[in-house]
Amino acid sequence: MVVIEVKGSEGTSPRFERLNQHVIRIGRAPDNDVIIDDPYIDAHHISLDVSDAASWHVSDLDSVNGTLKSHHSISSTTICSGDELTIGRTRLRIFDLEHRMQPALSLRTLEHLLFGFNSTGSLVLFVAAIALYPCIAIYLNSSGAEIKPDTYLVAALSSIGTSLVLAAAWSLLGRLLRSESRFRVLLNLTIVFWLVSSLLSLLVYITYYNFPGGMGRGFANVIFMAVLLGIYVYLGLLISTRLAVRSRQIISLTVMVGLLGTFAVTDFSRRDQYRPNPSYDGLVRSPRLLFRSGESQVGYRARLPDVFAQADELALDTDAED
Amino acid sequence: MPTIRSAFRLTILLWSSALLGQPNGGAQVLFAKHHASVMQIRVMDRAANNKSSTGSGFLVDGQGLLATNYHVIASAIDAPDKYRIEVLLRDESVLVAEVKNVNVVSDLALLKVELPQAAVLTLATKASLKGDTVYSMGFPFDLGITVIPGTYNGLAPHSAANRVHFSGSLNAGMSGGPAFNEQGEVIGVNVATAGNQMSFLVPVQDLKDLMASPTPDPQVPYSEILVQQLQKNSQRMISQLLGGDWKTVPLGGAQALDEVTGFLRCWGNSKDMNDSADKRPFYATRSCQTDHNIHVKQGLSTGKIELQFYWLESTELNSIQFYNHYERIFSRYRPGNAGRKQDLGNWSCEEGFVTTNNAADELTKSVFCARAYKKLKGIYDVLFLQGSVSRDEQAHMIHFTIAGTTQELALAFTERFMESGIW
Repeated sequence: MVVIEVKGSEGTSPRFERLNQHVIRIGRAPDNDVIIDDPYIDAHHISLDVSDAASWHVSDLDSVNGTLKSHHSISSTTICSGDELTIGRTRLRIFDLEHRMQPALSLRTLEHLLFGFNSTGSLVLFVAAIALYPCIAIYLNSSGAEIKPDTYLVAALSSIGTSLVLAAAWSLLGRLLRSESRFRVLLNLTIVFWLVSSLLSLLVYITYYNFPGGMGRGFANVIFMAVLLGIYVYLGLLISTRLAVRSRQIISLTVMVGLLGTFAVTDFSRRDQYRPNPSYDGLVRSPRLLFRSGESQVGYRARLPDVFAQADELALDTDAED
Repeated sequence: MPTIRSAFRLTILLWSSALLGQPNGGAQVLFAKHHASVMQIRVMDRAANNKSSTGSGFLVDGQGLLATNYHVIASAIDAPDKYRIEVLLRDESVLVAEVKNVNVVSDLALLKVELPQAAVLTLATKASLKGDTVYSMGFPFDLGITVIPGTYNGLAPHSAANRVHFSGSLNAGMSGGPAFNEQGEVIGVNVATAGNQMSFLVPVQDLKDLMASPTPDPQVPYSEILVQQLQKNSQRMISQLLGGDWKTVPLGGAQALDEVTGFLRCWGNSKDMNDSADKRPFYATRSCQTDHNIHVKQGLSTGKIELQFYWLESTELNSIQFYNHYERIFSRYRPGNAGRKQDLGNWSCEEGFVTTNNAADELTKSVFCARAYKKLKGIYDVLFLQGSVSRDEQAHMIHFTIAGTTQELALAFTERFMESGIW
């Protein structure tokens, strides 16, 4: 006794046929044991002989489009439980009743949840978003000069291209270390992180605009980026490798610390660098993004003597360095 | 064509040789009489034992007192361990000079050499008239002493420091040399050129004032003297500004200041609406500034005051696009003077959202920055910037920079500027 899984085109759910016969005929005609409504399948497409439990035999009945097993065209071959055949646009998997299935994916394991993050709908949506994002940025940054369509096209393509390359790199790692590429999951993940980081820097920007001075915008941005990058690397490793939790944590932490450290070191080295022009916070934004009230001119001027005191200190600091 | 061109060149040559031969009876007499009192001043690098820059100077009293420009000897003031000042005599012998007094603002210095009983130049007591012939003497480009005739054209009308407009060709190295009237009296000291026969002299009155002022105690470092002079100068200029006419004039949809006082000259610019290729938003700017910098030393100038008003509006751009464009302008203001790391500290800035006087709900982004001078304690450059942030597709920016001022003066000016009714 065998069970045949019949899966039509993308997006349709498979049906399962449980059969007792020794010889099973599959095709479009009503006299078959398994009838499949697929115009690319012959009336009588293949016959399957399962009389010998140790070695099943499949024969193509001289069909127009042939039969594929693991992407190779066959006319007659032996198969075993779990093998997949493609006829027309339909995929068949044949199991015996004792076939050992993979254990269920856990709803409580992040890894297993991520494996399911591969639906076509979300992928299309994300790719559209990642293509649109740089185009919107270009449009909003224009000062009125005409923007040529190719500018948008190049921006959109390079944005998609970057995500593709990143996802492909992870995917290659997965193929090597786990023999599964999971390209779609990785592409979705990459784009989501890209979008989240853009959104976050926008939030930082607006917050910083409302509260100028204080911690530099650059620093806040770097902290967010480091955290996001750490999470991204952690999830990428989770999907593409079989590394232990501890190793994944160490690697992503190293990436975070590396990024923050590089920023801190460059920032520190440039602190005393002489700048002939003031590097003030010159953000001005649409009034809709300004949520706070202002202070009086007198109140603002009362803070200005501190500027001179700090200028004196800055003149001393760099002096000591000479 | 070539024939015409060479004929033209010939005319020029004939004319100029005629010029050299004729009134220079005056120049020749003057030169013969006074050139012994004009000397080349050399700033010598002590370690290299060679000259690092040269200028000119002239004897003003029988005890070996020489007048020259401050900028000629500025590096020796700044780094006396590295440089010494030498005076080259006619017989190619040299004398070491010491600095007696300086005025960095008018750009004058008095040097002392051991040279008794030398011929002294007389300082003019009578004012010259526009059109008078003036002869300037000096050592251009180390080429030996030279006399150059030109015309007196009065005091430069809008100058922040007193300057005589001399129509003649001064060249590098002539700085500090004397300019004579036809009676052979000194009427000014060569100081600068703007090219094309546009040159400037320090009026002789400034030299007389410096000679009459008490010689500073040699124990007091020159940096303190410079600080006092710069403070006094900034005090003079800011007081003049504060007491000026703060009349506003329209600029786009806002107000700007007119020429507050004589030494501020304003220039305007706006978008060419007929240039259809220029898709940027409409802008109108008004920029008012002083015309000269005080040379403190090589690479450090100061004293410049600049006010600027900027109107920006757009009907084409949406609010986000407009503010992106506005932000690019707002975040790129620069000070009007320059300096180097060894002379200036880094800028310190304070930002805030400040209400305006005329509308309580109108906010401005305000930025105030200052930097200190490392060797001139108490002297600062300041930059102030205010831009509207409560309007949709309109923006108004006001800005000033003052170089070489004090905290007190800068804050007094900031208050007056913020309250001037431009908003």
